[in-house]
Amino acid sequence: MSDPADLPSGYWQALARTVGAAVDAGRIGAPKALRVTVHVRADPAAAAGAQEQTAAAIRRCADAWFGGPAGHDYGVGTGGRPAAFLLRWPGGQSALLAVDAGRGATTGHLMLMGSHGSIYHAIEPYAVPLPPEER
Amino acid sequence: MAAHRVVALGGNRTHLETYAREFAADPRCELAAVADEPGLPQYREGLNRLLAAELDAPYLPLAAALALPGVDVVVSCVDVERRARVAQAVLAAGKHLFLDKPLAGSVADARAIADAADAAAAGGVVTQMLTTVHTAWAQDAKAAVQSGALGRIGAVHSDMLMAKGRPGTVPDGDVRQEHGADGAFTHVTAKRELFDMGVYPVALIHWLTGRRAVSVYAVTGNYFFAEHAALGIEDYGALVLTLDDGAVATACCGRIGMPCHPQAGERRVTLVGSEGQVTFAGSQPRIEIFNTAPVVTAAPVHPHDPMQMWDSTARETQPPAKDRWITLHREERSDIAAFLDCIDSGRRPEVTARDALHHVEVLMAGYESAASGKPVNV
Repeated sequence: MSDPADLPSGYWQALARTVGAAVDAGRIGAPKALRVTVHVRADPAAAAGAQEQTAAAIRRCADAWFGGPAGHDYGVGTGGRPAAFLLRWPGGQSALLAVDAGRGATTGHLMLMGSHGSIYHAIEPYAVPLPPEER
Repeated sequence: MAAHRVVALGGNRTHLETYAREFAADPRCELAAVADEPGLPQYREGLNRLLAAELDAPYLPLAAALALPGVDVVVSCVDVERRARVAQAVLAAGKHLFLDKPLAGSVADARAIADAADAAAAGGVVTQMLTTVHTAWAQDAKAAVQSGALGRIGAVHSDMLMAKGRPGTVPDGDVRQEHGADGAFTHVTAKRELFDMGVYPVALIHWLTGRRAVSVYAVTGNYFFAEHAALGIEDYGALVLTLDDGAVATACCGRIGMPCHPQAGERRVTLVGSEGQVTFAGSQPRIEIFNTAPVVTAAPVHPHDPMQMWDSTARETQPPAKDRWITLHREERSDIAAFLDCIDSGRRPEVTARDALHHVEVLMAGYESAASGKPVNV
């Protein structure tokens, strides 16, 4: 499976690392709730795969920020149609994810809300060359 | 002489603080009285009388206020638990009714209001509930849907996260176990945020799509505030809705704390269509200002309003302005002006009591889902 056209997997790794560092530094207190809305550009034939891969990448981010895998998992939408997931962790944290793929530029919005503060991120096409180990 | 005589139901530390002043300021209106049911707790009646004094209006029992000559409009911000009884009395008297959100604290109460509103509508009575649908960004979203440029709408995602209150006080290790809606929604220091904030995205999704939710899955949390945790009520909620045409909708709502957003909070909607997707937000487009002024990280906490809900307490604590993000100025019709427009023109309001019944159905299904951990059919 190939990465979405303009959002390579290294992007999510870089995001996970950067947000994780802010969390570890205590910038937002304990992470509590994640909200992500993202559309990734993809050819129609590759849309379902791009959507699935993007959702998996975001879930890996959430697992990292919340310290482990979710305990409860609810999802709707599959096969390239807009999908939504609502996850809950044993410690009460939650993630609400909306992911779709298809025509139009990659765009989205991420909020990680913590007990003392929030992190915001605008998801945009990522064209920065990544080092080989992060591709 | 003004075209409409208005009776305002409720008092300070309710949204009537704002609504009554806006009605009074509209040249089409004059405020006839502040009123409420007799026999209220001293706390509530005292705050009602205080607002009446501030507005230089008489404070009257509900029935006496409705009987005042020329009164044709009522704005109601009474306690959630009393909304159905009061609304039925107002509508039976043939008065146009502007309703605070959410419509009621149970589906039964909401249905009673909607039924009374439908009956009164036969006589020309207009009802409307406060929502965000008249904001510029919501109007832009509606225009995008109506243009057809997005194709078939397959998903709608909307957030309403209020950046008020001092966060970081929830006890460590607090894991919310949702108990569902028990009919109690009026508290002094905090509100149930899935109910109080969640109604905005739920109403917006319903208004934008014209579709009803058929299934709801929800999670609630105690993430930020000790006040909510102490009352056993949530400060955050998240919803996944399946609409009756198969589209997906999600909504994220709550109160995240004053320092946690550069404006009043996150207010946005994303439309995903077969031909494209687009986002509209209360903070866009904007300018951003960074200067030598101190960054606002906290405000004095009012002992009776730690969540910074009311203008009357803000007048005492004087929280510093959030002025680093400034959304480009757009003319927009306020909810109250739009309501008066509908009365005067005979046009149907964008969100009537009947529409608002569905919002309550969705929110109550959300509580049931959060308690059971399973999706709930609406």
